[in-house]
Amino acid sequence: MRIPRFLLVRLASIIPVLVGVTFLSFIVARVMVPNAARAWAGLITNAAVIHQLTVEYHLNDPLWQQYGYYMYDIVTGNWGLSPSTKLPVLYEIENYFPATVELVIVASILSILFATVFGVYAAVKHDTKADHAIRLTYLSGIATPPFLAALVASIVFTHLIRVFPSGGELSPGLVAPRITGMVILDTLITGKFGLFANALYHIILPASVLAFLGYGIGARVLRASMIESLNQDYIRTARSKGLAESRVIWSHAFRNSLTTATTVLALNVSALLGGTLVVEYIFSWPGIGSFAVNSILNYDFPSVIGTTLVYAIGVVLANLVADVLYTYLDPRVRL
Amino acid sequence: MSQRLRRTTTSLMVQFRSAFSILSSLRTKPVSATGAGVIVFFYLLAVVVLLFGQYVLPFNDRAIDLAHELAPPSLAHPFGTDQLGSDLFRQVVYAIPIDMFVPLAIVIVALIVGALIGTIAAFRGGWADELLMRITDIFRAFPGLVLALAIAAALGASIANAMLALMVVWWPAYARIARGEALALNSKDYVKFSKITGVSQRRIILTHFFPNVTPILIAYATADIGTVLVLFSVLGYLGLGAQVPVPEWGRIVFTGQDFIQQAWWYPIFPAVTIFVVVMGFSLLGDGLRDLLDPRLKSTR
Repeated sequence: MRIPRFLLVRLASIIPVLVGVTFLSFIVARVMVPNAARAWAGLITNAAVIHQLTVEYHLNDPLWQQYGYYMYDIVTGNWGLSPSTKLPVLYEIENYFPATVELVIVASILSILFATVFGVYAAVKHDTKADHAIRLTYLSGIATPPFLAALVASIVFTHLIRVFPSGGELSPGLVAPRITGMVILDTLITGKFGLFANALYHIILPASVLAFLGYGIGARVLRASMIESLNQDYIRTARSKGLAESRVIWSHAFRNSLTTATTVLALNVSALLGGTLVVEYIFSWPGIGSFAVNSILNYDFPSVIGTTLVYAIGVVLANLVADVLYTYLDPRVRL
Repeated sequence: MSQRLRRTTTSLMVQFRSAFSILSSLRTKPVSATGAGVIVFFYLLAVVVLLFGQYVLPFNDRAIDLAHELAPPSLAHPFGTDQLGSDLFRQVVYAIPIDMFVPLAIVIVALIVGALIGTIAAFRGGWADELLMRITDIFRAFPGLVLALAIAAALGASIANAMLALMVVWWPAYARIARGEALALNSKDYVKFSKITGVSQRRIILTHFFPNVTPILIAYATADIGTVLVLFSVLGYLGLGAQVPVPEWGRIVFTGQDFIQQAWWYPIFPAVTIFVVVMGFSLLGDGLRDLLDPRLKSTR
């Protein structure tokens, strides 16, 4: 009974954030731009086109009225026309978004795995050589610019030793049935296991690169939280009861660090989403990350604004999921 | 006037001294001290390049030497050459001032703006505090890189605009930290006493809040410069930062990645340089975090 009510309250709290997010995107799209009509036209400099855009988006009206039109367009799904592909921005985003969701989910799973293993191990071996080595590894993940990780991974694993394909979601020529747009899921639902294996094979490298860039924050927080947990009295009690050390670590200390870990999960998704831009671009992954990069490179401003909005909505939803998980894991929150 | 000036300088000196005492306790942590060493080295290099660059290592960015295009690393060209035969080592060295000072400037501005807004929100409470928290919530909804890209794209591609975009994105994090630190001060007796006795708000903020809040922000900021450098280099990589012929690490990686199969050194050396610097900041930051995080301190 309690959880649904909590969910409703939490869902309602998203609305002001989303209003704020769209307002900020309006500021960027209409106020910060020196000449909105020209920016909206991209590389097209035809005066007639620019005039048409000015009329269509009411760019000569007072700003508060423009905001009304802007919000109306956002809500009704008119996110503008991409000047470089000539397609509606929202259509493009719907097309590219599932691939990014898929990549981020796989990368999240991998990064949680890395963070748990490394964070817990470093905490157990606190202040030993193993601890320091692990800290160096995850700090180097945080310190690596995304293009370095992606480029090195692609030279080493697709050129020097050809164990992974160089990019894309599937090998050239293969087409997956489109239901959700997430190739792994779609091939699994339709029972095409050959394609499924091919899709998995393609996602491993980009997802691992993303996870390498992002797991550090999680590992660091888990390590700190585990060190704290392991110093608690109940751990001493558990040990003195003669419980196996692995039981003490996983079902006593780790269980209590899980709530911290879920908070980090949400932070991580934001970092992972930021990383998708460069990583998707370098691995030619057909998601909104490479769509955003190509839009920037083609001066396609409507698409840049559209993808920015989608990224923010993604982070807000990820936070919601983390919050719900948090409530589920820590009953104290519900009180 | 002079009295106020003296008070401000004294308060500034106190802040720097406490920030310095945090930094100097890093001596007990060799790994973090190494990180600090790398950073100091690069900032010294940046100054040397700015002041004496052309005397020490002459560099002509328009030099085209097609006889040596995409030459591998050698003694004459430690980082190899690009597709026009231009020395990549020099390009990387001449990019040091921009890539070291721009993130520093961004973090300093974010820190000052964040400290001001965060402290005032915590001190005032009520609607000012509520408003600030909602604003930072909105900023936190965007991945920092994505919002910075959109703003930089809106303003137009240039180093100044990339800087401005990152400043706009970065201050809310500092406002949140400053607010958190300042909230704890509200309940301190000396602050309550000052409020009751009618000391002006501005004076309470200047004498009690700032000196207590800023050292923690400065320690946090030290590590943060590395994160900002990564974002700035990604902006540069996507063409929203330095423009040709100004050398910038991220941009060199972008032009170089097309040649990666014939000349791996072209994108890799500038990218590794970013990694080395950011790693320096990370190591330093990790040490600082341990010193500042009371939970970890108690376990030692």
